[in-house]
Amino acid sequence: MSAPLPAVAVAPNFQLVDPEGGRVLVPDGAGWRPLTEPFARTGEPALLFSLPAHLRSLFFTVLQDPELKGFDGFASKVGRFLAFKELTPPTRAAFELVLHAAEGKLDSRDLWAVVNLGDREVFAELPGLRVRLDVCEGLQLPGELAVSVVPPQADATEPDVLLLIRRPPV
Amino acid sequence: MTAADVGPLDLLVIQPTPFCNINCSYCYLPDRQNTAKMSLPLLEQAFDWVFASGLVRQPFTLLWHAGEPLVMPPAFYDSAAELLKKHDPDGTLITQSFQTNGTLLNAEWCELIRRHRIHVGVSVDGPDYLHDSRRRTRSGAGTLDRVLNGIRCLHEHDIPVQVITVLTAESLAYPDELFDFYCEHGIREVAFNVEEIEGPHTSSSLLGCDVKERFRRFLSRFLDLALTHDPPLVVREFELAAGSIHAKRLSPGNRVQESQPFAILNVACDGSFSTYSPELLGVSSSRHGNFALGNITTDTLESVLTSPRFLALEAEIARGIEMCHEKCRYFGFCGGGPPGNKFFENGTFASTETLFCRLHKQVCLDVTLDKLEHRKSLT
Repeated sequence: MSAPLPAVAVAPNFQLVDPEGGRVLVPDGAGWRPLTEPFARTGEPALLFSLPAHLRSLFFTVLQDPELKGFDGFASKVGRFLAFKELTPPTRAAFELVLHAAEGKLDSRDLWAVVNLGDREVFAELPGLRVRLDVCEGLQLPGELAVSVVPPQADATEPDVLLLIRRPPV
Repeated sequence: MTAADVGPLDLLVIQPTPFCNINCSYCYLPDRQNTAKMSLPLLEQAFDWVFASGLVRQPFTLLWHAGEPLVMPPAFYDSAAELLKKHDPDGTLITQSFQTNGTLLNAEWCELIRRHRIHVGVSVDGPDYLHDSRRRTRSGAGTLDRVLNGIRCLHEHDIPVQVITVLTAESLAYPDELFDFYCEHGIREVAFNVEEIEGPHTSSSLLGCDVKERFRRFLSRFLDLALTHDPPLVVREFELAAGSIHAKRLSPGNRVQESQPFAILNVACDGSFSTYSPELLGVSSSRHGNFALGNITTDTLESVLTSPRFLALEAEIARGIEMCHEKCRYFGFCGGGPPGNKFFENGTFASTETLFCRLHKQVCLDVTLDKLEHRKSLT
């Protein structure tokens, strides 16, 4: 068995089509491959979750307005949904909508969760592994875990659309 | 007691067969492997018995249930419709209804449903991780795909569909997912049943100590989604609770449907009949014997109403209603808990609160009142 990897689990009260085992990738030479062998996990797990379809529809409505006037209301609804699921965002959490292009870097400081609001999968990168996030899925990160989101391929026509939920600065 | 003292008939439940083609883990039907079928001559006798009984004094619903009704051939219901014409020639007295698991619905059934204007209730418990964990075939396979095919077929034939979803402890974590599920499948009317302790189903996942609060949170969140949707989803529990909040308060003299003798008449496929809660059909107790009070082929309503068995049953139910009146602050809205739940949970009709009361009555009333007050404060 190789070195311990960060633990990843589906958050309680959520059902994902593909549980954690099928979506974790590990380095394989220059590329990545699905993790199929047993591996040691360490630390508090990063938790996979998904937003319901009605919130995604609301997000698309918000996008109709160039000034995104409905974004605060949307963020508040996401917060209430997660609180119902007992995955409550920190008090005074900041919700940010980010377009993540191929050349872009993502500021991952104080990141509590990242949610994929685009229309294709994205990959969250933790030390030693990558986790696939399908459409409308998110990953909640324990405090000590460094994370980044893998930029889309250079030939991708659209940037990733991400909702970042940040802990308030200490 | 005479026929004038009981009824009027509000719900006639006819069991064309006790058989069900699936085997849900929480099913209360004790005899669901029995493939017996009601014959048409017996059905005709049942209709004649009902109309001769003096119970029919207002329009009523004829519910085909207590087994999967679509296990019978469609021709059975065409013949039934012919038989009903004798008693209801212009079709204004009787509303027919199927409560079905939906797995056998197809174009032929949909055409029959339209032909006879039958209301349809389909049992579906939501996304596969909820539905298929409970509603399975005898070989253990999930049934959701077949149910959704049935619902699609109803939509294609422009047949309105109401669904009944049984809530287990697990379901209470998923109000948003249930809401999405109904929207995705064009379902506009929803009714929630709780997983009850009834018949051979002697326990419930909802017995945990934190369930009442979880159920309250579930219902509150679901109603927030349903009532603000455009157009709003119709949620039976909200409609019923709002109706009882706005209605005159009940007293022990105003019996509700399930505790009023012969407001519900349940007729089994062999002609035996019972009243009060439909779940009592086919069940017996050491104290009362079989809850089937007679058989339409041999017994008149008058003979049943003077029988010691019925009188003992009625007296115990009346005692239970009086106890609810004395002890429960919800009585004015509820009128007393359903006799069937009291019997199955408490072992006697002369008892009060049940799991059904705590969740389906008390929480639904509390949450509905909150929503109504919130709505009022906004206007």
